[in-house]
Amino acid sequence: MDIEYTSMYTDFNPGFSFADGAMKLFVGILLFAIIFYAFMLILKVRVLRDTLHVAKNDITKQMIMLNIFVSIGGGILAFILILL
Amino acid sequence: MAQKTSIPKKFRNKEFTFINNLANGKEEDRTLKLFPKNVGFARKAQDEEVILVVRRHWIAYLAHVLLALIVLIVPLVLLLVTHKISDTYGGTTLYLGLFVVSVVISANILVTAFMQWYYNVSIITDKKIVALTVANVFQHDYIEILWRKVQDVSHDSVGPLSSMLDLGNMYIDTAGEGVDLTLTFVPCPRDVQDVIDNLVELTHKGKL
Repeated sequence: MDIEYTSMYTDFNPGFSFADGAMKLFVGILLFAIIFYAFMLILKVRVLRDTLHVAKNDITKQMIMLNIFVSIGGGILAFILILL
Repeated sequence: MAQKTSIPKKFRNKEFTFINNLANGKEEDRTLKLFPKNVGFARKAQDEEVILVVRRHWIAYLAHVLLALIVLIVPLVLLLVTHKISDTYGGTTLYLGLFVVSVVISANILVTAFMQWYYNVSIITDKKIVALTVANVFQHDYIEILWRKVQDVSHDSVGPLSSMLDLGNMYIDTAGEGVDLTLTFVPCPRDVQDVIDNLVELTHKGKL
């Protein structure tokens, strides 16, 4: 029995295209940058809180913590939706 | 009259003319609050009294808010433009993912704007002016200028926003070339200049 190589390899799809891969790489780097930025915001606010305090209840700390949770949660969700 | 009683003892002298000018009218109507509580900074002296805290007007951060809105809209525009062109770029899951990314980016832009608004302050005390400027998440400047070193204070008001919202830029100059401190988007710049002029004058006379 002859093997039909032509028909086998015509249907073969490795599941990768350059545009798709490039976009996923870009989104991956973007997600990493966003989470890195959110961490840098925490560090900056920590320094600024030591430099200056202008109110009794510092709302910035709560906002920054909320932001890091949104960034990490959103990053993981976007990672699952786009990259996987 | 709550404002009158909160004036510290050493400022109840008539030579502090700015107090009478700023303390007139209802407290809730005033843009500038004299002698705020719970304000401190790294190099504040024990006997140093904080007179005024000046923040940039929120309109200075309008560009951040607009940018955050644009970033939110981008995935929806992309979806509308490309959903009929290709199967790959029309995938709902992909656009949902991009929307989540845009929400996260927008949140970071807004939090950065809030952080800048909160920490871009100038504190006027009886000894000096302290200006903290947060340019971005990687850079901030902390400037202190003693009143005895100040030689010239001026302000300008440029553009329609300045006229509508009573904003201006302030320039504080010490000896040497150039302006040493520039404060932008200052609300009620005349009143702030009045306070600074009064403090500088009293310091130069040796009364402060």
